[in-house]
Amino acid sequence: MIDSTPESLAMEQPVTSYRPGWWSLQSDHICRWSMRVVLGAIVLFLIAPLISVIGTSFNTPPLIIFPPPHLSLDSFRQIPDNWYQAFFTSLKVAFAAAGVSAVLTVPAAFALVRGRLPGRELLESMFRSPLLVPQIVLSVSIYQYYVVLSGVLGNSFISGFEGLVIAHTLLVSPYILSTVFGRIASLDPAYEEASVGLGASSARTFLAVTLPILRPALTAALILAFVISFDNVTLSLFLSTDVGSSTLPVTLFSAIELSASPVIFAAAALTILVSVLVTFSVERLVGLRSVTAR
Amino acid sequence: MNGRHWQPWVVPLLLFYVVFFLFPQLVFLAVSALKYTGPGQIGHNVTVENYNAILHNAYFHRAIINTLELSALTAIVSALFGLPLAYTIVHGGRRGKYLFALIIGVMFSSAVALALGWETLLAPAGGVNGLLLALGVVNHPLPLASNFTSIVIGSIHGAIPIATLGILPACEAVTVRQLEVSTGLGASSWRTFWSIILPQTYRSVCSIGVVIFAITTSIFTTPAILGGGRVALVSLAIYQQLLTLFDYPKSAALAAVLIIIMLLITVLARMFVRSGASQPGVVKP
Repeated sequence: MIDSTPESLAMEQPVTSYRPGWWSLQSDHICRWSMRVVLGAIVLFLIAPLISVIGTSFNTPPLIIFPPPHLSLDSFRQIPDNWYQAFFTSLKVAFAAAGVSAVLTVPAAFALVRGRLPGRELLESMFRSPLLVPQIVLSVSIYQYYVVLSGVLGNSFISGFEGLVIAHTLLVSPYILSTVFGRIASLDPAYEEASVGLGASSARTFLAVTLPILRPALTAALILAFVISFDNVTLSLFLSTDVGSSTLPVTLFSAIELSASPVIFAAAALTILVSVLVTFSVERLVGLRSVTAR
Repeated sequence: MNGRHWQPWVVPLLLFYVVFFLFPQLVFLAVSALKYTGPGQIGHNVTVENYNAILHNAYFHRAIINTLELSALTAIVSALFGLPLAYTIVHGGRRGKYLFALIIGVMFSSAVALALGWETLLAPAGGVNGLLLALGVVNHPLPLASNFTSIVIGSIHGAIPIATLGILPACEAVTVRQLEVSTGLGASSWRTFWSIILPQTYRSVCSIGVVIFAITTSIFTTPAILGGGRVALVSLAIYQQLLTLFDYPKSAALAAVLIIIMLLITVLARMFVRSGASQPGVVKP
């Protein structure tokens, strides 16, 4: 990160020969080395559980030993079919939640930025507030709301795919809103004015000018929304009373509660693989900073 | 392109929020004040019984105290770990880039997988105890699994990426020029840290600590797996009341208590840490 501007080069020229004392040099060494040791320890701490899951997954069932005495892929082969089904349920819920949320949120972001809405601040803070309400409280409230709704409407939202998607949409909307909101606010209207001035309809302007400018921010927001929904346990656990038809994290969660088996580790290792792949593709597609920047 | 014709576009999201966010919040607050008439039922009489039961029950007291303790430990440790990480990501060149990828990778990993990893590592015959025994630090395996310690470790691990991302902007405010000037004027690395880096980042470290405290009060997945059912926490008690005992009013009241705790902590902490708290980019409870 050191930039080679003229100033920083000038620094290195020995204009006045300053010599740091012995103590100062030693303390510098100690400081640099202790920083390295601390960082190394934290990095080890961060990757330890990942390594332990991946390592244990290569055991021969029913052994659970890390490091495994014999490497084997048996635990991967023994992953039950309904777990793959759960994996696809997770994918479907995450795609649906990210999609529905984008469809609802992007127009609303335009309205908030450009519409001179009365009570804009209030609306904005309400749209962000699912982040502030703890997920467990969100789960309890939506669960009880579905119970009440089922009592009134007669059909059961609970354990249904739609109910899950609705809850996940609520969960990811604040992330999509704040990412897209920032991009729209910094969007120069001159581009769109030029497009309209050249005779394009407003629909065409939106598709050919506005949307391409928004695309990087929208991609980052959608990936983030997808990951958050895909990893979610709390909402899915509360809102799918029938664990058999639930998402992968919930299936794994319930399996851990029941018994320990390297098959669980194999499935968990696969989810780690997915998250590593997502991290890499984010880095390639939009850069890691764009997912975290607000 | 500016003006009123954009206004209607807010309606779909607004309706969605009113129907599936505001109504549920009102329903659960209302339920928390209704009489418990049996599993899976909600009575019609208004009562403070549910809140009273929470106030006068030793198990719930334990749960609240454990929750506060866990949140405080997690907030302090992860904020302290976050500073060197964030600093290295910004000023560490290539190493910083890899570190950033690691942080994002951990953040994107499922909490279930991470908790599973810690469960095996912290078991009596697991990696951590094996290492400590081999190094001769301890003679007997430490009781690290299925207790409060394992929950603390797991929740700190999960909070470190959030802390790091939250401190990142403050570390970016420390410019390369400032560091060069400090070193050029003969300051040691310690001196540079105390006089240049820390003054510009400590506010951010404190405020991210508050944010993590608030988030951790409601952490569920990690303690549910790592606690082994032996540690009382408010979030676990809510789950138990709702999905094991089907006591809807009690679970709603507990949820309300959790929100009150969270708000109280945040307000109190804000009084001590005055700053434009930078919200973290990503919050993953």
